[in-house]
Amino acid sequence: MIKLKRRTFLKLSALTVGATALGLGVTGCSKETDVSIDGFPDMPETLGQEVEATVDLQSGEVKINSDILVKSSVCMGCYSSCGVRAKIDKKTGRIMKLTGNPYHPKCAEPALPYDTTIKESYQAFSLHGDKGLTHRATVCARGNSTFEQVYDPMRITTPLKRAGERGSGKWKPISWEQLIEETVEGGKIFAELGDDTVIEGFRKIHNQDELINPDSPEMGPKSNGLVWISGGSYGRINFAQRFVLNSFGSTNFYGHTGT
Amino acid sequence: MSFQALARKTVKGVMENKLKLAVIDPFMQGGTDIPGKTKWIPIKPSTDGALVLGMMRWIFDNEKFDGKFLECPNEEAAKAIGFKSYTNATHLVIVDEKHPNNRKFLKPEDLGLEGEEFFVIDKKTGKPELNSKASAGNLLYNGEVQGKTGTIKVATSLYLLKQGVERHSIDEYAEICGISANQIAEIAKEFTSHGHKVAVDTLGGTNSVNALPFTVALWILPALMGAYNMKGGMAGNGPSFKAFADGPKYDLAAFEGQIKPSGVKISREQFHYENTTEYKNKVAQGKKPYPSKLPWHTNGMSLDGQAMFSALNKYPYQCKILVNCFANPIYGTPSLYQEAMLEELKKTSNIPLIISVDIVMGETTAYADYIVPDTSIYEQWAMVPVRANINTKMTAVRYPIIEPMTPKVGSNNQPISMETYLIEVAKKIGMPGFGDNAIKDADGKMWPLNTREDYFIKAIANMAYDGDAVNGITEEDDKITGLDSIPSDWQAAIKPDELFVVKNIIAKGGRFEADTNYHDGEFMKYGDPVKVCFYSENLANSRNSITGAYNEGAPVWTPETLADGTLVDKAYPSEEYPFRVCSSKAKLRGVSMLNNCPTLQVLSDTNYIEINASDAKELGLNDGQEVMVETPSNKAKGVLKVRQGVARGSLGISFGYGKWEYGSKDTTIDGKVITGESLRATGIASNPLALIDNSVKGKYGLSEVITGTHNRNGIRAKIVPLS
Repeated sequence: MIKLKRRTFLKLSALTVGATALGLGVTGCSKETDVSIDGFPDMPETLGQEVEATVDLQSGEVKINSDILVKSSVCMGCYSSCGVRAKIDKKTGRIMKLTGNPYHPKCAEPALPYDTTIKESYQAFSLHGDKGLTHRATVCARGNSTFEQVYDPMRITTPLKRAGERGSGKWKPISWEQLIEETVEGGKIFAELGDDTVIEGFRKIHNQDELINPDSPEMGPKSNGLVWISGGSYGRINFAQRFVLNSFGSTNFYGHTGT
Repeated sequence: MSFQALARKTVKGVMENKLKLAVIDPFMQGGTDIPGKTKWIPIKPSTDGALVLGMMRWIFDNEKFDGKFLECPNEEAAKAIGFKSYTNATHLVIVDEKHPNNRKFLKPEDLGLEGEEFFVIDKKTGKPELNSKASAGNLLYNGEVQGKTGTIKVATSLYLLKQGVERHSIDEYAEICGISANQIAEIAKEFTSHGHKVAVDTLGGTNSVNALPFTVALWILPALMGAYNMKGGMAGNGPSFKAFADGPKYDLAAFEGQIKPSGVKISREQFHYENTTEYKNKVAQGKKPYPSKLPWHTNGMSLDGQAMFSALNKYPYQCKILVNCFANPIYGTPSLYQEAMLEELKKTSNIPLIISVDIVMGETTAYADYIVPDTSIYEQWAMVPVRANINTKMTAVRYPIIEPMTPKVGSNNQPISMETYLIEVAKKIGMPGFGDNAIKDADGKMWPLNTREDYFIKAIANMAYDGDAVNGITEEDDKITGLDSIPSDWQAAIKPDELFVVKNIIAKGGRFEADTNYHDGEFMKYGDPVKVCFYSENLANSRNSITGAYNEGAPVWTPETLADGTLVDKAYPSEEYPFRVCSSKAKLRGVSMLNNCPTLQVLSDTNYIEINASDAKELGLNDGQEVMVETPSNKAKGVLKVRQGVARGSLGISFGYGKWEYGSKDTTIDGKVITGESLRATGIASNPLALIDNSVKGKYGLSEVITGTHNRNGIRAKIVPLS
């Protein structure tokens, strides 16, 4: 029961700290932020999640909960790229919660010394030796929520091909093999929609020998017909650049810097 | 930018009375106000340049710049007096319309000499001298030098900057940006009261069609004080560990058969219109070469929005395959989501094939022909470099912390993702750099690239051995983190002895240098010496491809114009359109993501059209009232929020709301209707309201001609009540 009380307190303090950090109280903020806390509300025991570990306040001894894994990653709720630690339920393989990575200088100040072991790093979430105060790692509300998009019931997990006009919202699932075949080889790929246009696929456009516009040779090879627009895929665009710029040979690789 | 680190350091500095905080923004947002400490300066949207140039005017009038530093014409001279950067303040520019090299820096060949250096007027002798030879130059010289065939009129970069700044008085700048002359002087005074311990920052150059002079002038401000690379001053982006480079363990940069891309980017950037066949043909036929069909953005950089406009106009050539990868230009680019643009986007004759790599039906993905499902951020690999304001060495790591939800395919049993798709396409075509024998290690041995891990785990190995090698993971940590049971194909991607250090990096979420280690004596530890340019020869010798007019080489106040030079204020007078829309980033939405996160939907389900209380009172508008925002190009419905924290004449609309796809709409898959969730589409989006530039013949959203940046802030608008 002591554990529950402490978690209840933590929940409340998290809420109030969050409220200050979010600047609530600025004129004109929305109504749902007018939170008043009159004492401790009753919370059913089932509301709390299991903890990933317990830390003995005196000795600092860390006891890991063997049902939970804690893994490090990087947030993309905005473009700050803060370090996150994900609490993962071993049985379901699902992310339960995200917090800040105490080794990451954007999330804790000062960050935990790099040679601290992972086991010792759990102390940074406790009050043992005041580590929870000095190295507490945080992420914002967005950072806390990014994992929910992983489990979006509308998430696309199958290759799709349009089954109507562009933008009409009509699709059909296709196999991986069909996706590769049609985008690489092209052809009358929309014949089933009554469109007999021959579309060139990757194979035809990958061409360093012919010009994309013979009347304007400065425009470069036909390969420039591939235009790649990358969004916030920071840290993985190098892979796409290897393909687009250096293997396919198109100059048209874009990040989101212009918009 | 790292917002939470920035916020933490700012609050700490302010509360300890070491830092003063002023927020210059038309749209005061919660989170930037430290009660009783923050000073809010409500500037009019898209007039930031006037404020900065006004500050500069005060600095010149009162001679508050660091003259000793600015006189240094080269790196050694600057180092000799304790700096690690220098400027071209003293470098001479030809300002002689009769001279063939007018607008360019004076070069040895102009004086009948050889070499590639610049000239200054030597402070000791009063005569022209190579910038490498002088220890100090004349700061504000404006006169003549003896050239090869006669005298040449020249002026220093600093003189040209000052001349541009002096086109307006502080009072005039104050009038333009809506901040009083006294306040401008006060900020400038404060800014120049701390020697080189000052810094500036901004995000995105403000995204308005006069953003360039503002951004350039803003970076010049600290240079006037010598702040670059100095402890307590300015630093560049924080350094990273080698990952995708030719690293200590694997070469992930080069491969056999590698192509160096050539030709002009479709976005009309980094290339002079005057070098196109289009221009040369017009001149040869005796026609006027200007205007070009669409503007050429000679100083633009990675302009995805402009690439979209080019694709819709098939200019300067046709886009054959458009791949949209984890991006959303239809939502993110001002004026792209408008009827005229969408009609062109739907035609396969314009863009024959559109492929989208995405995890959800985003606004752009909705217009694709094919969708390749991708892995989410927690199912993918990425090495994420530090982005500014942390100045120690670090690279963070993202790895599949959960099993990807996309199905496994192909002979390597990989989950469907961007990487899996590209490997498969490359191998089918026989493109270089993928498949067997694609990556060379430091011993010359060849490795395959058949899986995501083949590439990314090697990148972590490079990080691990960059400089001093990282320690190996402890046995206990290996177990706790579950890294003791990683799949065998992950382990096979690197040499066995590299695995333990790689695992330590994965376990800790990256490699991080101690964050106290950012300086080296009085200098920033990282960052090569920089040369800050007050006058840009490159800019001054490029032209607006619609009008043919030369661009300014030093920043000067520039009101917003259409591409043909017509003032936006003249085309759309404020009597008819009294408001300017300004955009901000919502705290509880992603940039164009996260509308599908239930927690954020609950915390803040919508946004508003935010308006100053006095403006609302004048127009008889009330809080909560439904209104139509009408701009010269589009209109949209929204709900008013009346508050004090918006500059007069501004409409604040936060980004990330008002979406129209992203799972909010019904979708038909195989004839079955999947019902959308309307909660994902609440609120109002400002980008579709942005202006179309009718002074250009093609389908083109209003943009700054020089850089191609868009009309996101400063959109002219009026409000029509609906209830």
